[in-house]
Amino acid sequence: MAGTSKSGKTKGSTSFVRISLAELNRCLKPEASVIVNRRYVEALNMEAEAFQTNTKNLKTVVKNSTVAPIDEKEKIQLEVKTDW
Amino acid sequence: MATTQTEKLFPNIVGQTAAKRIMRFYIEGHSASNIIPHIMLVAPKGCGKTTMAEAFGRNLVQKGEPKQKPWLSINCSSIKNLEQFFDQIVMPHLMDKDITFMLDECHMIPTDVQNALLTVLNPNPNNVNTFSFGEFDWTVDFKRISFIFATTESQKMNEPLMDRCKRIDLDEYSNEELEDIIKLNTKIVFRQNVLEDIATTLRGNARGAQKMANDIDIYCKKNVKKVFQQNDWKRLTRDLDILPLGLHRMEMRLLRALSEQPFTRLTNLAAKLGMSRSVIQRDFEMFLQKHCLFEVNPLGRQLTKKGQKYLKEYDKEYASK
Repeated sequence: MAGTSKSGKTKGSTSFVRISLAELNRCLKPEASVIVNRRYVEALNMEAEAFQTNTKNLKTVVKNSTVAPIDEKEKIQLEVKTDW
Repeated sequence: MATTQTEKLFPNIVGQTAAKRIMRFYIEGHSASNIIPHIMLVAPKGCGKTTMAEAFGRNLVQKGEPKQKPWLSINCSSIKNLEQFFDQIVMPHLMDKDITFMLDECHMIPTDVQNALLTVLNPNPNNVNTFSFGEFDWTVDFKRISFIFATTESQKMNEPLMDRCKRIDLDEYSNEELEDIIKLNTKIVFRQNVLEDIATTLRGNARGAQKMANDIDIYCKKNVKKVFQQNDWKRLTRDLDILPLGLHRMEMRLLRALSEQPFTRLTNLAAKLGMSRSVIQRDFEMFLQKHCLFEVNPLGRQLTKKGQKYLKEYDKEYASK
């Protein structure tokens, strides 16, 4: 079947991204669940619950994460133009 | 020929010939190398720093790319500290990006961010620097990120940071250039040389010329006119309290106070005007001194002959109405 399926990983794409703990702390409340890579937790010698990654489960986690908006006073005033 | 090419790079930007010529040099250099020096635009408020910076940024097209790099501008007065700068600007907008980055009002950059920028902007043969913050290493490639700073108060800038930048001072606008700016910003037709009179009230300020064009538009719409002439200007000066030379009402009060008492001390002036000494010096005396309407000598402040003439003519022309 090789060469017939259109599903699978696109060459060059990655599943993982990096984000600072400070940034997560800024956006999430302390009781929020954070989904991380199992090997990452193991490398830290920590234990965590199993998590089935699918759209529905992720939406639930995000919904319950109680996103804390950045205080308007703390926002840097900026303007971005990409198509100008 | 060279001038025409320069004007093509900066359409609808009046004046600033020297600054445009310098920028054109670096635009052409960027086309060949993808690199510009870090630019520091210095000018008083309302002289078009942001407009010039954007026009410059529009011309920064990387080799092999069809259009200019994206643009990010920030108001540096809203930066609180290095952590916030890193979280909100560097990580989402600058890391691994091709971008022109403008830092407006850069004299307001906090000290820790200024110190970080010393490392980031340090010139070197490879045109690449790495700055480490927390767990992140930010690799700054000058072929990918172009830095433009703008400030009204260059004296407040960190000296080594200034030293890392190519300083471009913007010129003051002549009255003829201000007339051109007004014409660019309105479709109203001007008659009886009224634009010459209008330009004398704009204090050499490009933004002032734009605002005046807007006011003239409002006046003409209100009065259903497409032509603006001397009698319209007289009505507008009365309606908007526009004084000769574009003086503010407080500056006029200051002149009046000086006319009533020769050799006035600053403290006495502050008491009469109900303002602090520093505000009087910073906000009101500069422009009057620029036009030689009063002078400061060891005995105190006093009107010059020009200042006396100004008040006399104002009283003759306006006060009676």
